[in-house]
Amino acid sequence: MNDNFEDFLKKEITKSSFQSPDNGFSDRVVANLPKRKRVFARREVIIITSTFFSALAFILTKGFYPFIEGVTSLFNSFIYQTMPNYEFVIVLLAFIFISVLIPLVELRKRVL
Amino acid sequence: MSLTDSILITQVILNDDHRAFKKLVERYQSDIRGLFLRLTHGNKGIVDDLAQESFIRIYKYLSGYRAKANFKTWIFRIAYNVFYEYHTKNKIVQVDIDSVEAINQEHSNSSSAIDFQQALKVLNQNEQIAIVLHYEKGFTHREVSKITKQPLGTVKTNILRGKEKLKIFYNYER
Repeated sequence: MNDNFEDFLKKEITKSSFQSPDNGFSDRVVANLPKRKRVFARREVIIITSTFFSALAFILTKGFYPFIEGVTSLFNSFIYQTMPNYEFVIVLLAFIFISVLIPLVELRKRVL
Repeated sequence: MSLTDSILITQVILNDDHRAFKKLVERYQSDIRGLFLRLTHGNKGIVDDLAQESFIRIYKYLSGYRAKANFKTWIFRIAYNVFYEYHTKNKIVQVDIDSVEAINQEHSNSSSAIDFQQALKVLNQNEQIAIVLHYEKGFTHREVSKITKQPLGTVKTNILRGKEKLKIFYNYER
């Protein structure tokens, strides 16, 4: 319930309220601004560059064929219940972990 | 044509545009200085220092601002932090509720209306900030809770208690 006292209080506040004129305050603030670290931009550049070079290396070393081969043999080992290629599994898990971890860390930083 | 806050913020973040930031300062300086003037009980000597420190922090952390939060709420949160740090370093004299009657008596003798600035002195710091943000600056209970990082229930209690104390101070009767 919006009681009468609230109206009274708002009137009292309005009576004593004030608008501070700028009087050069904003100029003083701008004159004292520190140099902003461009960490955000630098990080983006590092991430984009490393992604680009990783993709390039992947293409140049014809990494696509071994990858498909590895995944196929992994599925086959599941289907025929044979021993999987553990080296490939470890490398795959490491890549998945890294590719999840980096965006997760970035996302957390942005949210916080 | 005045540019919106989000355009100005983008210009500051992307181009480090000081003119855009100056416009933001001009837009909000009165609100922030007004808040500090209330909370420091009219100590003009410190108001500009606190306001300047707040705007410098706003500039520093602007790239961390997320548009899902109201920009005004965000800058008031920074200003509140600046005041809180100042307050813990330099204890501002609080007037105990028992002395409400004395202050009230003092003012009832004068012919002028009791100033809200004086009335605030009977509240503790949390009540003051809650009352000022809610009734003067127009923030909702939830926004006050975000600014002060206090639970919603605590904010509501502070506003209620503050109101009761002010009722006594103003000798308010229906």
